[in-house]
Amino acid sequence: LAILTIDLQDGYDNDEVVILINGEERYRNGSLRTDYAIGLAQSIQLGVPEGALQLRVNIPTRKLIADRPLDIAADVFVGVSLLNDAISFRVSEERFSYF
Amino acid sequence: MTTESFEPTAPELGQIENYENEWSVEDVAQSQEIQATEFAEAEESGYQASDLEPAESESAAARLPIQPIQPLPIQPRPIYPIKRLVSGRYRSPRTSWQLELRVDVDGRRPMRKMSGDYFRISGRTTSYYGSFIVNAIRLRVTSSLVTITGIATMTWNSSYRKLVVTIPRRSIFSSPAPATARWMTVSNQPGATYTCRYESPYFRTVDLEQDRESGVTPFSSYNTGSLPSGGPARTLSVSAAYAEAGIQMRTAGFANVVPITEAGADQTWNNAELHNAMVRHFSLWREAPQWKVWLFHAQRHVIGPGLLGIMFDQQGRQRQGCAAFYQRIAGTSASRQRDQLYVCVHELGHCFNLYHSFHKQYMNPPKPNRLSANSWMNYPQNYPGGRAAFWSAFSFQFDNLETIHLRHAFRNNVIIGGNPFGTGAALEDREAFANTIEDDSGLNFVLESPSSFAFGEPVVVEIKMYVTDRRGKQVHKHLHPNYGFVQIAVQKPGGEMVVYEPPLEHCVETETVTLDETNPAIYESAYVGYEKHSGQVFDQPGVYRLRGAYSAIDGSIVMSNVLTVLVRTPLNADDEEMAELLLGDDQGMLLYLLGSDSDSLKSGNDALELAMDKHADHPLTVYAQLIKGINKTREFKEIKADHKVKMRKPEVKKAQNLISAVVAKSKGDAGVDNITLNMTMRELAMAQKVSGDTKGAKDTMKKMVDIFTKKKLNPHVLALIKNQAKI
Repeated sequence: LAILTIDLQDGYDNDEVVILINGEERYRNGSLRTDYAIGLAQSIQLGVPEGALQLRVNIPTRKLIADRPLDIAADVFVGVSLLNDAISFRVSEERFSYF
Repeated sequence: MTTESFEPTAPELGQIENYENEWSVEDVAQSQEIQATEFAEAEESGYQASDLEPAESESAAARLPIQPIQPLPIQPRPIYPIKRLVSGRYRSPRTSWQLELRVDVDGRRPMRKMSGDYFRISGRTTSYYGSFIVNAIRLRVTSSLVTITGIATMTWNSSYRKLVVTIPRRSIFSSPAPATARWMTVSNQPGATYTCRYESPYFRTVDLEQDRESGVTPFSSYNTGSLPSGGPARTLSVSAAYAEAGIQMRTAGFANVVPITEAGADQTWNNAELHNAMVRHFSLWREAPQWKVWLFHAQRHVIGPGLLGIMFDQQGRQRQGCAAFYQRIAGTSASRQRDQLYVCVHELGHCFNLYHSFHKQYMNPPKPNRLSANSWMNYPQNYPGGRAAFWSAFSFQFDNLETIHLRHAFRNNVIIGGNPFGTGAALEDREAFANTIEDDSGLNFVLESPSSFAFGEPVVVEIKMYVTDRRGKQVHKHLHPNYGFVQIAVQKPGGEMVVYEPPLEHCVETETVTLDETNPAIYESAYVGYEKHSGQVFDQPGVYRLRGAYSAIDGSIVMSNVLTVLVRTPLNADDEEMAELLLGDDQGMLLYLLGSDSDSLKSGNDALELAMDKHADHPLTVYAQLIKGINKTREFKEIKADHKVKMRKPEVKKAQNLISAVVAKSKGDAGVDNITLNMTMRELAMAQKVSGDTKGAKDTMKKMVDIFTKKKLNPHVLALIKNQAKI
């Protein structure tokens, strides 16, 4: 197992967010809001099998769904933001910093 | 270097970023002339006037797009004697108004702005009035005088918007010259003039208190030449970094060591624990806007190692405290020291209401993001090209717009504890709660009430005036808002502000009383639930904030504490029905009048009757009994259609029954407040006496003394009540 850290970052304003890994719901929050003092709404850590997987982010309050294929070889960090009415992903091997 | 610009009036980014050079006013004026020439050429080539500033100034130069000067080659010019810089902070004497004037036209990174704050002086109190900024200035420089002209944007309405500031030029061997600020209309009709003495080369001065968690070595300074960067090497502390932006950071307060036990058993801070630590250890903390800020050096936050720092104070008066977390940045290596400097300056930037460079779109009002900003407020990881690219470009400074904000933003948009984080728009309503800056009135004005009320329950506040000057102070005897010496502002849960005005005018002669050691305080209770213009004030469950302003005899405006009151959500159908029965307009007027037989208030009286019949045991029924009972102690005269006066005589027995119920419910902690109970029992006693029932009156007064003796009031209050009982 590897650790997939998903940071829900910018643009959330009391939004419902659902995260699915390979079709299985792994996270749901009905009211997510970004703290702009740090640019982070919530950070979640999920144990995932190494190899290819499909990350899906569903934001029903905005009627938005986006998929991001990932190839997991080690711990990975994914930032998910709501920018300009779209879901954007940022993938990094390094932990994101907030301040 | 970026040159993007988001509006024609905004400075182009990336200019005047060389803080090393000190610009003289000649340099700035010459740059202005160069720009004016370029403008004239541009105009000839079809540059649209609509792209420029509003045509409020006469000259082409004055209508130039506002931008800090560009570092163009300076043409050969005469050698001037070495003159003092004129930029900095100036202040007028304390008359009825005081002006703090900020002039920003030379020195390091001149932003070509003027700004200021006005303070109202009333007696021995000082309160903030408003702010202005002159974005487009015209600079004229002679060997003896600097003249700066421009049209001001203000937080208040005025016809006198044109500001002309003149500052004599003096040699560096002479003391700084004062600035003369003249206001006029755009057609040059003269307004007020202020002479302001030079106060500081800094535009603003802030007291910085730093505390640390036990075991944490706080950041001290970093040599920016230790690693590659986009600027020259120099040693920067937090204070030095802000000094480069024109902000003086003075070390203040006590450097406390905060025990890790305050972070709880997990030894990891969350925001609530940080806020508690701030309130406990920030010796300069007050729940008020002030130029004082707290920086806490801690080890770790509950969010995890990814969080290097946070401006955690986002409740009440916000932005007063921030923290740096050393879990990932502790150490003495150059990169760790650089990280520590960056985090500390960055978090304090949030305390000045600066958002991240890439979050400007989320501010109120929004601004375009500046992802490539060479700024303390950016994230290296978000910079185009990533962290390495950021650090090699970064010159350890705020960008121009942030520098303008720090130096010249309207006071409440930048002051610590001012507008909420991210809100740059002026919230005029909040000014009703503005603190006085200084209060030497010798008086302490306090509003008190239970911390919560049931929905529909009449909100009654106790108004207390204490003397802090033991030599004695004369004050107005009547503190009830009815008499006009006390005003109470109420901020409703949605933010709407109501300044309470009593439904009826009361004209009284000024009666005064001396407060001293023998009589240190006076008290009054006021029902503030029903107001002249908007009717019921507490008409929804939620949190309300109240603040009073007392107009003292010497003209001082003495502000009270901010009283926070929760109106609770009804728990059941009975609660909801009682709230409905008490919240009508007629009921509000009846509560204000303490009863009336008037036909025009019939629906209110019917509702109170229904409350007593149907909800006899409900806690709020005491208010219906109170109103009805007091009304029965009085006669009621009515002029009928035939112009004859019809009078209802006092109905003392009915009054006694109703008021006895009120007394029974109020002798403990429930029922009506003490001042209302005292007033009610005296009304009954007086009615009993007038009706010939002297024994009944004496019994009522004896009962009153017994009740208040058991309530353990202050001795001087109890003495007053015993005196009242002698009827």
